[in-house]
Amino acid sequence: MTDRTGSEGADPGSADDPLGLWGTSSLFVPEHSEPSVTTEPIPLLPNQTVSRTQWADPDAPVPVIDLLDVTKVYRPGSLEVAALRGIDLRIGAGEYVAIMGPSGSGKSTLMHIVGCLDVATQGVYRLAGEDVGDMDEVDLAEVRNRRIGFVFQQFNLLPSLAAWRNVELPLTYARVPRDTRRARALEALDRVGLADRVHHRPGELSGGQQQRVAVARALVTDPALILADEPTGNLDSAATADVLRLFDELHEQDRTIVLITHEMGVAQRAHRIVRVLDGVIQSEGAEPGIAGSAADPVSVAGVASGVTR
Amino acid sequence: MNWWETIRTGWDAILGHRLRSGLTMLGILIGIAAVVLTVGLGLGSQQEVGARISSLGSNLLIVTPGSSTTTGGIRGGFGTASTLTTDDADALASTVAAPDIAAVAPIKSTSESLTAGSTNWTTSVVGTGPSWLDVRARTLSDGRFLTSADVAESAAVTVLGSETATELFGSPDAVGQAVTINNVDFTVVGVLASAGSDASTNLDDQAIVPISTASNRLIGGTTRNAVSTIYIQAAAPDMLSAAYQEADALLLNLHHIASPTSADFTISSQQTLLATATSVSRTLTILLTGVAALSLLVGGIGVMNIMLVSVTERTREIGLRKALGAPPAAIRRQFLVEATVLGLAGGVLGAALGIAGALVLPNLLGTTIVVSPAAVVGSIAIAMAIGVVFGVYPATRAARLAPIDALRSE
Repeated sequence: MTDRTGSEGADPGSADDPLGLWGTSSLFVPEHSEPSVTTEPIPLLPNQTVSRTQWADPDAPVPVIDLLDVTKVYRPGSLEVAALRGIDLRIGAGEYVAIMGPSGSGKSTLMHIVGCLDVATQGVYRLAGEDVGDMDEVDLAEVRNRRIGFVFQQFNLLPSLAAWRNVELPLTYARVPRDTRRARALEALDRVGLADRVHHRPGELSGGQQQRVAVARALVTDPALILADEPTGNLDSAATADVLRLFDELHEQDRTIVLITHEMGVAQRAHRIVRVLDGVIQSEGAEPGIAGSAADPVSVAGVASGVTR
Repeated sequence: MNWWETIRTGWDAILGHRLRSGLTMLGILIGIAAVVLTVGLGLGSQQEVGARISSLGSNLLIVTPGSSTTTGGIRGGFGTASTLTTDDADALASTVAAPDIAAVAPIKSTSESLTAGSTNWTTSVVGTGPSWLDVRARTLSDGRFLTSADVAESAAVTVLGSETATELFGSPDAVGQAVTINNVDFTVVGVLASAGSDASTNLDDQAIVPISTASNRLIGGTTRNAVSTIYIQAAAPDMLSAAYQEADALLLNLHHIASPTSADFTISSQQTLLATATSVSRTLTILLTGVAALSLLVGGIGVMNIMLVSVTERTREIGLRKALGAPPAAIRRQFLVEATVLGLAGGVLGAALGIAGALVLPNLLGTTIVVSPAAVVGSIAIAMAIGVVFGVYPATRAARLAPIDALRSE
């Protein structure tokens, strides 16, 4: 956490001049590049929602994650608790983004909404172009199944199932035929370097290996987004390095990765760090990643508005 | 996830907690075994009663003195109001007055001590006529039965049951032997073929004598012509009701009774006896089945309890499955199938235990247990239904868990 002020200072440009950043890329939506939109929160007009599906440039790729003024309010008792207060965030295909923040900052809530495990109280969330705001539980389950690969801190493998059967689990809910499932599970395990451990149960694997099985499970559906919640939180440094190397490899294969962490060392592997504090995005920008490449051009439309609230 | 895989997953989960699943199944198992056994016992006792009543003979009507406080007493002639007489029997036997009655066998019985040489044997001595053999559907293994001449002459002759003969003479081969009953010397003229025994009477342990001999030389008393029972055999099964009406009208007339409601006799058929007997055993069966059903209910609550524990214990697994894209229906189905598999396994094992019990218990208790396939299939279906019914609530609870809450749980 002591690093935070430093990294914020190192990253002023994205918040002050989002237009300039957008100018470097044709990846993003034309309406967002209009100056009038950037200085204020984007109004959530119905016609705007409609226009999103009719791009002026048909070749412009759809961002994987597109959060517009997302608010989440919990009512644990009579008191309302706003966990998220107007989050605007866009993450393009192939990005490797770390979301950082202390506990209670709302990063877990953000992760739940991004992961379609929960829905926003207000605002729009499009996952790979699909508006998930109006979806019921069944549709959300399908979106999670098709679009998102989860990696959890606790690995969350089913102890009674062999590694390959843990990996094929998401495919069983996608009604993929048995033979195909097995083949894809074995392929995913091969990609995480566990081809020789497919019949081991989680209890017979080390923590790092278990997390690699979990990554294989996240990969097996070929999702638009890999969402990792503190993936190294339960791992020793060797296993952490192992898993982070795996994420680097996946990034090189153009996977979109969102990593939630509170460890600076882990976050620095990503190419962009989003800091969340008190339910708003505090700062956002490229960090000097270990991979050495420059940060991808990103959309930061909501940062200024987040701070002003 | 298709049904087969869901069943496999459920089975894996059950095998993952062998002891717990086994104990849960035990509740269903005991309940189903109890149902199979009690239904079997009920059917068995009905069958037994049916066999006993049909062993009386076929197409039978049984006339008993209705106003008598004691029937067939040792001193039937003295004081007791036995309203049936040999005259009644003779009138019923008339083909003119009662054309649908094929045969009539009046009975006058007493318990006497039989002596042959130095051997004593106390048994039931039945005084009757020659038609008894046909009416009661008995056969002889040796010798001859009573004749009309025996009755007319009050002859001192007797036909022994096979067991009585064996007790007195060491073998059923007793024709020509002498036996003393109440200081009267009788000659054994025939031996009845064995008819087995039922729970209440031993059909093979009795001595048949002419009814006239019984009233005049054994029992005596002032109402010598009184009888305890008159068996009437209808000519054919479809003449039974005609025979009933003829006998009823004839006896009312003979007894000078105007209103049938004040009749001093009762005519019952095998059907009415059977109905009475079955209604008793049916009540018993219903009672026992009720107890068995209660134990099934307890077993079902056990299933629900364990499924709720299972849902709580596997909250994290449910959360994970939901995060990986399992819709609520899939989660509900998974737990429902698990409960159903528990119920079904308990049902199959319980039915097996019930069948095993039905094979072993009759040898120990001397009762008849009839395992009907319908009861077995039905009880297995009930066990499955119990799994479903008591699985619905836990499964719905699992399906309703919010994925984030479920994932957060420890």
